[in-house]
Amino acid sequence: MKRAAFLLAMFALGSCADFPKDQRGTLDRIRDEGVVRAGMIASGGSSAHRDRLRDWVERSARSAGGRPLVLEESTEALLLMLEAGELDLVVGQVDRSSPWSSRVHLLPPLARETRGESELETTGAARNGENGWITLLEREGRALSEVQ
Amino acid sequence: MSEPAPPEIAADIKKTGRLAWWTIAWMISIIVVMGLVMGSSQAMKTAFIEDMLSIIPSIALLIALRLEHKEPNARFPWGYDRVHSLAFLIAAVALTAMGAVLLIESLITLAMQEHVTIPTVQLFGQQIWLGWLMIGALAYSTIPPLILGRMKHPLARRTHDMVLHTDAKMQKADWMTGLAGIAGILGIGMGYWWADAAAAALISLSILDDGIRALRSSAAELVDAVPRALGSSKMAEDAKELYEELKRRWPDGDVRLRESGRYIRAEVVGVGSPGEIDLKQIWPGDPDRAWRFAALGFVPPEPGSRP
Repeated sequence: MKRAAFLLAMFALGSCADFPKDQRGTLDRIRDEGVVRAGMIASGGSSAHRDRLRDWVERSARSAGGRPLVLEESTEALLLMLEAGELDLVVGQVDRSSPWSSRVHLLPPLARETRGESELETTGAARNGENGWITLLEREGRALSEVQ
Repeated sequence: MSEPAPPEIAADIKKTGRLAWWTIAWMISIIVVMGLVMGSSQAMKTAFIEDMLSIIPSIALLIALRLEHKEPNARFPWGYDRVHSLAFLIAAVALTAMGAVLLIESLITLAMQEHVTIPTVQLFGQQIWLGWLMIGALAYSTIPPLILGRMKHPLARRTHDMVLHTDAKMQKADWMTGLAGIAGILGIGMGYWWADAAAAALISLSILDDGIRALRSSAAELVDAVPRALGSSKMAEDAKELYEELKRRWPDGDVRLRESGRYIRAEVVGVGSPGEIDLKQIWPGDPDRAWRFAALGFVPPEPGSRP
């Protein structure tokens, strides 16, 4: 047991530059194909928020070594595509208390807005388990917040 | 009013109590640290639940130590030795539950093919992968159980304390789960979604095995089976020697031994009382462990009595 943990630790440290890795290889696919498949939620959100989200997608795509290919659709349609692995990223206004928060990983929000009883977050979502890609998205999101 | 513990083990019993308090204090500190960085990792959640369960044997042990040397009274004419047997059963149930929870949770995760996300956090202006903090917390969670468990084993042998022995097994389960958790988090970091749950499932089998062994021994003790060796279903060596000695002295009698907490009680059925007896004179083993032999009774033959 101790030996197994030690070997795993050594192996992990040896590949530190690429750590954590994605469980379904999103970052590798982006590097190979040069494309980030992003979805922009069509409904709601001010134009200022939409500009910030577009910036976030562009920065993240650049940092991952690809260019963004953005599709505009409804929340449900885009999140279903994300869950199925047909998209790498969805951005827009999402209610964190919705069941989607466990089916996909919701990133730290750029802004929050209360509408009626629900609190909508201007944020992004990635597939669960894509820890390398999520680390990159969170880094770019924070950098964007600091710039603005 | 309470009866003093046998002088040979009085100091060890005091030390056992102190260790139980230290265990509770350390485990609470581990629970707090684990709760802060738990995230959505299965191994982390399970390790957190286990750390909470692992306090149970120490609490049961402290209660048993407080009660076991109370003097017999009108309501409890046989005294409180067997409180220890009850505490042993509680500790065994906790250990078994820990193994079962770990196994079930990890099998569910594997069956559902849950891909665990471990995000980043902002700490002192730096972006840090939460997995590193989890590994730090898990590493911390292995150290106190490793040290405490090693301190408890020799003490449990000297005082023939089944609860303490089970508690030491629980500590072993704790540090093994911590290491499995570290391997699981590193596995996730390397892109293997199943690493977390598979590591936990492997460890759970060993914990469950220890738990079931302890459960069998504790249940046997409650139904007056022969005294067993620590962590085994075999008869204890000192009890075997005592059985042979009693049989040699009273070959016509039916010798029956049972465990009452950490003590052995014997009956020779079919033989009348030979008068005053010094139990220490009869004890065939190491004189320093003669305290184990707590009582000897004689049941004269009676026509129509239950064999």
